[in-house]
Amino acid sequence: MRPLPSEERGLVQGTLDMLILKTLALEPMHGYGIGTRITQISRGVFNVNGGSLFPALRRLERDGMIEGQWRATENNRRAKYYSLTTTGRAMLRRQTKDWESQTSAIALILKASLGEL
Amino acid sequence: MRILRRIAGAVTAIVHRRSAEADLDEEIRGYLDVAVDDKVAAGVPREEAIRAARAELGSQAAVKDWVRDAGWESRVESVWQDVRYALRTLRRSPGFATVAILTFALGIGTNIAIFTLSDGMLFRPLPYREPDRLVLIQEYSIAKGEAYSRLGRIDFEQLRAHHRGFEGVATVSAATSLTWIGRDGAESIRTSYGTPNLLELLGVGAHIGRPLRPGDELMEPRAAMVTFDAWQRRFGGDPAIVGRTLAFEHARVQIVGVLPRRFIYPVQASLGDGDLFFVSALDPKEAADPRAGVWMPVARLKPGVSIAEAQTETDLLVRRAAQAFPATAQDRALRVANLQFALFELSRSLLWLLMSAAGSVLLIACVNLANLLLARGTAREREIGIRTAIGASRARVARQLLVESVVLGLLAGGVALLVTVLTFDAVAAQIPSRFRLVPHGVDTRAAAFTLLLSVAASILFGVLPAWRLARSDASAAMRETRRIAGPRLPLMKTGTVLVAAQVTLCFILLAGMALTANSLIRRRTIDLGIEHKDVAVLRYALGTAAYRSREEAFDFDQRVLDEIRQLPGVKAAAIDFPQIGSYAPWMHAVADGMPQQTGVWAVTAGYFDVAGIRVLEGRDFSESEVRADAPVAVVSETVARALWPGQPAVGKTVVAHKLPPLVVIGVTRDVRSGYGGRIRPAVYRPIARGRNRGMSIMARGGAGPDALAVAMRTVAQRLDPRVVVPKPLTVAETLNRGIADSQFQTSLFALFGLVGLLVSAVGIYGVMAHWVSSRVHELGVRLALGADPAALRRLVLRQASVPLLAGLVFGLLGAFVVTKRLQSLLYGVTPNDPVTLAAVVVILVTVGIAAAYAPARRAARVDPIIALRAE
Repeated sequence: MRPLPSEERGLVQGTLDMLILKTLALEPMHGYGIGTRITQISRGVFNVNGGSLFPALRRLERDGMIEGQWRATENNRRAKYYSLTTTGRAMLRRQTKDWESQTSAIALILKASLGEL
Repeated sequence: MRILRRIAGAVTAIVHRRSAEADLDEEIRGYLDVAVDDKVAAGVPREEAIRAARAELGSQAAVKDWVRDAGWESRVESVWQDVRYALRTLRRSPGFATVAILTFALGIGTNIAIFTLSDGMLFRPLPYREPDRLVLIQEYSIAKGEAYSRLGRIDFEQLRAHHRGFEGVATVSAATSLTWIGRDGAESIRTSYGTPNLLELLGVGAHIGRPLRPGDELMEPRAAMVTFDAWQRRFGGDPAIVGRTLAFEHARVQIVGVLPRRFIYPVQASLGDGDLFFVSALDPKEAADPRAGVWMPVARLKPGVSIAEAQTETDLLVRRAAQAFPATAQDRALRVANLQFALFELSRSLLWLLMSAAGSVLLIACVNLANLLLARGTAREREIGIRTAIGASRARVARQLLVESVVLGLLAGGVALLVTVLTFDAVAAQIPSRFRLVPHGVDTRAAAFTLLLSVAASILFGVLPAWRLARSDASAAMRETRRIAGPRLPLMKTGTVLVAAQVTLCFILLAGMALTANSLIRRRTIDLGIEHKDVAVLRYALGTAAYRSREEAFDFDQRVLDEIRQLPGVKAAAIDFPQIGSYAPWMHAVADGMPQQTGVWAVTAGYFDVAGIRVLEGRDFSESEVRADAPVAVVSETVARALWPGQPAVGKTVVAHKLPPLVVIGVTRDVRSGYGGRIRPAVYRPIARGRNRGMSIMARGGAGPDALAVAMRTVAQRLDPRVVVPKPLTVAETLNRGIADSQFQTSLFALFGLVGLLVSAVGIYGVMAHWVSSRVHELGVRLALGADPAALRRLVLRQASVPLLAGLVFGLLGAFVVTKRLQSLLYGVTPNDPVTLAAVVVILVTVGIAAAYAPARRAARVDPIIALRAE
C-alpha cells in the first residue's frame, strides 16, 4: 500500500467517509463540490483534496453507500454527481450516533477534574 | 450480503477495468474543470487557476493509483504486475536465474521422488475395501524380542475357528511355477496361491471377469486369475482371456478374471509379480501339526470391533493353543496391528531416513537461495532505495521480493516436475519390490505436492531476504559512495550464518551418505571365500512327470554337465544346492561340537577349482571317489577349527546325525552366503546318484560369462526341449541381487548427498563471488597501494573458511546425534566411524575451498585502473 496523501492524516481515521455521507445527505454533489463543501462547513479546518477524495468515493460507491450519475453542472460541464442510497443513509445514521456517543464520552474524560470523582 | 456485493463490485471492477478507468479519467477531468471554473469565478486568471487546480489535486497518476488501491481486486492485479516484473528481472540476469532455478529444482525433485515413494505406503489408503478394518497378525517371541514373518498353523486355526472379533482370516502360500510350452520353447509361469477367502476378505474385485472366491479351489479345471501385468504382457490385454482354458504340462487351468492393476498382496509383495493367482485351502492334515506354519495373515475386523478388543481375544486364543501344544514356544505372542500401520512399520526406518534426507536437501537449497537472493539484494539496494524514495512502502517492496521468490520457486518446481515425469519409469524400475505400492507414474497428488512444496519453500527462503532488504535505508542506498563500502555488515553476516547452516546440513547428509556407502563397500569387499565371480550357474527344475525318479533326473543332469565340460576351454562342476545368494541348504550336519547351522553340500570333483574356493589342507575329491560315493568329506575351516582345534583335520572322521561316518580328506576356505552375509560352515561330500535330486551346474572359461551362459542353456535345451531352462546367472549377478536393497538405499543417499554438496558449493561460491564483486573498488585500491595479490587471495579464502569451519563443527555435532538412526542400515561401521567422518570433513573442505577459489582468484586479479574507473 502506498502511503495516503497527508491531508487525510489530519482527519480521525474513518471520519472522511462520514463527512462525505453527511455532505451528500444534504444534496447530491460532484467530487469537487463535496471537497469545497466540507472545507466551507468546517470553516477551513478540513481541507480535503482529490487525492483522498477519489479513493473514498470509489470505496463508498463499491460498498453501495452512494451512487454516481453523470450530469451537467451549472457551467455546463460534465461531472459525476453522487447521491446517498438507502444503505448509505442508514450507515450515516449509525455512524453519527456512534460518533456522538464517542465524542461525548471523550469530552467527559477530557473535562474531568479530581473534584468530580 | 455486503460481502457478496463487495465481491460482485470487485469482479465488475476487474472485468470492466477499462471502462472504469475511462470513467475515472473523465471524473478527474471534470473535477479539474469545475475547480478551474470555481477559481475563475473567484477572480483568478484562467492560466493561474488551471495551475493551482492541478497542484491541489497532485499527480493524476498517483490519484488513480490510490483509487485503484481502494479495492482488493487491485491487489490481485498488482501481484500479477509483480509477477511480470519478477519474470523480467529474472530474464535480465539469466546466470542467476539458471543457477537458482536448477539448484532449487534439485531440492524439489528429490522430494517429489520421496513423496511418490512414500505416498503409496503412508498416505494413500491401501487399495482394499474399508482398509481401516484390516489388520496384520504377526508373531513375536517375548523372550527373544524378535518378530517373525510366519506364524504357527495351530494359532492360525485357533484364530480362524474361534476369534469372534474377526470376519475372517486369510493368508497366502509360497509362490510356485507351472510349465508352459509356448511357441519358443518351454517357459515357466509363476503362480501364487492364497486361501480361498483372500480376495473376498481384502475386498478386491476383478479388472474384468470375476474375482476368485471360496469354492473355486474345488473347480476342475482349476480356476485362476491372471495378474494385470501378465495379462498385458502375455495375452496382449485381450478381454477374451476370461473363460479360456490353458493347458499346462500337468494341469489345465481356466481363467475366470484379471486382477486389478494395483493389486498386491499386502505382505509378500513379490507374490503380485506372479502371472497366475490361484486359491487353495490350507492342507487340512497340517491343521493340528505344531511344526506347520503359514505366512503372517491378514484379518478383517467386524464392524465396531476395536484393535484392542481383537488383541485381547487373540491373546486368550494363543494361550489356549500354547497349552494344548506344550512343545511349542510358550513365550510367543501374536500382535494385531492396523494393516497400513504394520506395513509402514516394516519399512519405517528407511522411509524416515529418506524423507529426512530429502528434507535436508530441500532445506539446503532453500538456505542457498535465501543467500543468493540476499547477495543479489545488496546489489539491488539502489533499485530498492529508489523505489522507497518515490513512495513505495516497505511492505510493498517486501511483497515484490517475496513474489520474486515464489515465481522462482514455481519455475523450479515446474522444472523438477517435468524431469520427474520424464525419468519416472527409469527410476521406478530400480525400486525394490517391497515398495510396489508406489503409484504408476506422477499423478495429480504428486503435482499438488510439488506446487505446495514450491510455494511453501519459496516463502521460506524468500522471507528473510525480503524482510532484510525492505529495511534497506533509502538514503544510504542512494549515496554514490555506498558502492565503495561493500555490503554492510549485517547482510554479510546473515550470508555467513546461512552458509554455515548450509554446511552443517550438508555435513550431516554427507555423513549419512558416507556411512551407508562405506557399509556397502564393506559388504562388497568382504572376503566371500569364492574367487571366481564370473562363474555362470545353470539351474533348472525337471518336471516330475518326465523325470519320475531321482536317478533319471541325476542322469540327465550328468549328461548336461558332461556336455558342458566338452565345450572348448570350459571348466565345469556341480553342487546340489547353490552356496551363494540362496537360502540355507536342505541338509544340516548336527553333532556335538559342530558349529550351528553347518550345511551339508554334495559336489562333483573340481567344484572347488571352478568356484575358486581354496583348498587349505589336503585335497579335492577325485573323480573315482565321486563316482563310487566314497565315505569321504571336505570340511570348511570353521568346521575343522571347531571340531579339532589346533590339530590337522585331514584323516579325522566326521560323525553327525543322519550322516554316515566320513573321513576328512581336505579343508577349504569358508564361504559366505553373500555380500555382508555370514559364514556358512560346510561339510562337502560327493554328489551321488539316487541321493541327490537337482544340480546347480557351475562353469567358467570359454568366451566369457555371457557367451557361456547362452551355450550352457542351449546344451540343456537340446538334450530335452521340454525342460524350462532359465538364463544362467553369474555368481556376481546373484550377489548383486542380494544387495539390491542396500544398493538402492545407498544410491539414494549418494544422490541426496551429491545434490546437497553441489547446492552448498553453489552457495559458498555465490556468497564469496558477491563479496568480491562488491569490494572490487577496495581491492583495486589495495592493489594500487602495493598489496600482494596472493595476500588478497588468502583474504577471500579466509573469509570463506569462517562459515565453512563453523558449519563443520556444528555438522559434526549434529552427525553424532543423527547418524545413530542409521544403525540398522550399517554394516561393519559404527554410526560415528571416525574415518568416515574425517573423509566427509575432507570432502566438504575441499569443495568449499574450491568453490571459494574462483572468487579469490578474481580478487587477486582485479585491475586497479578498471576498478577505480568503475566509480
